[in-house]
Amino acid sequence: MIEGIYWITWRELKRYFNSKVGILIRFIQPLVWLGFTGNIFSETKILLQQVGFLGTYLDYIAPGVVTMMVLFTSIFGGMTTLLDRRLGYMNRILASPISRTSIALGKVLGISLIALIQSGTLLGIALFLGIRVSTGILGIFAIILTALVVALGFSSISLMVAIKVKSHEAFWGVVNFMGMPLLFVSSALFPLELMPSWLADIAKFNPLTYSIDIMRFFMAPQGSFINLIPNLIIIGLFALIVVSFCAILFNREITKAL
Amino acid sequence: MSIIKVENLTKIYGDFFALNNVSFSVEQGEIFGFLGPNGAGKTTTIMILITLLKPSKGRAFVAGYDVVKEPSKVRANIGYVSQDITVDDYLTGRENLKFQAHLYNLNNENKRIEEILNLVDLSDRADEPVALYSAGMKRRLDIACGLINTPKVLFLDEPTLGLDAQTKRRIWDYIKRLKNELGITIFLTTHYMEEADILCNRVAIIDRGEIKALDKPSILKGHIGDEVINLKLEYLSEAFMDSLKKLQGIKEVKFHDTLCSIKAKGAEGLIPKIFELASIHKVKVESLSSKKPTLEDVFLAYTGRGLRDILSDKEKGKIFGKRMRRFRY
Repeated sequence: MIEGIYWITWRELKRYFNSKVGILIRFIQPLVWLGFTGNIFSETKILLQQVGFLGTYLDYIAPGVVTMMVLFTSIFGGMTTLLDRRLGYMNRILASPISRTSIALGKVLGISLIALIQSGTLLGIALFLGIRVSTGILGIFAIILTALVVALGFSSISLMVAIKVKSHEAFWGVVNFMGMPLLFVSSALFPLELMPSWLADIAKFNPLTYSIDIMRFFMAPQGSFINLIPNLIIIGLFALIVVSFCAILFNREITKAL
Repeated sequence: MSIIKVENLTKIYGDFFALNNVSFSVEQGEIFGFLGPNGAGKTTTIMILITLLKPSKGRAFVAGYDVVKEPSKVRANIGYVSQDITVDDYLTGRENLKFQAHLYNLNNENKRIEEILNLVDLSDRADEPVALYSAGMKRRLDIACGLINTPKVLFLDEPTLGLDAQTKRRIWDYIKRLKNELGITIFLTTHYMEEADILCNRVAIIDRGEIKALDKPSILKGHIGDEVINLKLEYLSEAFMDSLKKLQGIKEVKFHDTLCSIKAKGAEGLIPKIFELASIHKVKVESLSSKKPTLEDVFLAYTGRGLRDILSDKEKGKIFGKRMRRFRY
């Protein structure tokens, strides 16, 4: 089982590192956000101060942009599974004795590690651009760990979509439809306190809101870490439930032809 | 010993019989071919035998294990090469094989990978990304992937589909080598008559989910019977015609003007005798041709239709296409 997961993940990562153009393209959008949006909205600093955030807007959205990278990398990650099925490669894997669950978990882990590499690199670039992580190296480690948990959750969702819809058009439709609202209706780009209350209420159901608050804490701590414990539990449970559900659904769908 | 045993296998989709009461067995070490048009039930049979599809009725055993009850044991003992070339373009040839080896939990896979690469003549290109390979090389790598676990049975679904004539012949050579040098049992499907004829020890002709005939290609062709010799003469000679009919092995002689059509057994031996007779009777032969029955004739005889007729059978094709997509995508 563990070995199966390892090798499915191995292939995902090999494919990732062998497609060099793909790696670069994925950095464009987040960098645009950091470079432009972070500056365009710099005057909102006063608004942020009203709700107790003391840094610049760039400081504010840095965890949001890192999350954006995690979110989009993981939510598009189901694509390789869709391709594997389309091209018949999945049948080759299924005709071997490897356990079906380890295929699902290996895929999720592979996508999540890619999301981790991407967001880690982006965080590095952000640091280079002058964004501070005041909790130091341990804080960076905590941010990356948070990113991994979020990635596990959303790559599971992506894999479930891929296994369910079977066509490219539907896949892109669904994940695009999910991606943007998930990002906007969260604390990624703007504090919930400054949103209309109905939108803030919706944002409270978004796991990203909680993971972003954790990341933001480690970049510029405000208040006590104790306050974050509910956040940790929420994103942990979110990931656990979604990953398990994904493994079950994958098992069922992949053997449906049987 | 039968390495594949299939008993009354039936697969129904709604009211469509993809397979209808199919029974056969494959002996160890032989190349067994399923010959039939698109949509005949070839891929359905393979999918059931490799445990990716459950039969509606009937049983099947591969390498001694029940495909429904003991799928993991079946999977460990087989290799599968699908009709689409399924190698990972982003990986190198060696990485493809490495991944494949670990799907089967093989340890010390490097030695096995070298062996397999040698077998399919890809050693010198093994570290290039597969995206740079030609179609023939990809197919060879594909087959190599199917061999990594030293399977007892190798399933090849349309192994030369879409390849040019030269590449096709090379793949045939590799397939023959697998059987002769490694003794692997091969179950292949094809809709190319020539392929079935050249490669297979035994062939089952399958159409609309049913096996119409099953035997050695030579025997199948023998059932069709006789060879036909066509003669064009300068002029008709009664005496020549009478003496032709008396030749041993000649079954029937028909004349249309100066064209003479002879049904016979053993045409090779008869042709010189025909020329002897012609010179005795001073008849000039303008042209002569002889034709042996092909598997296509066999197919026609058993199904009452030519392969091409069925290929244009659009309605059935559409229905079937939908069914097949269910497990391809």
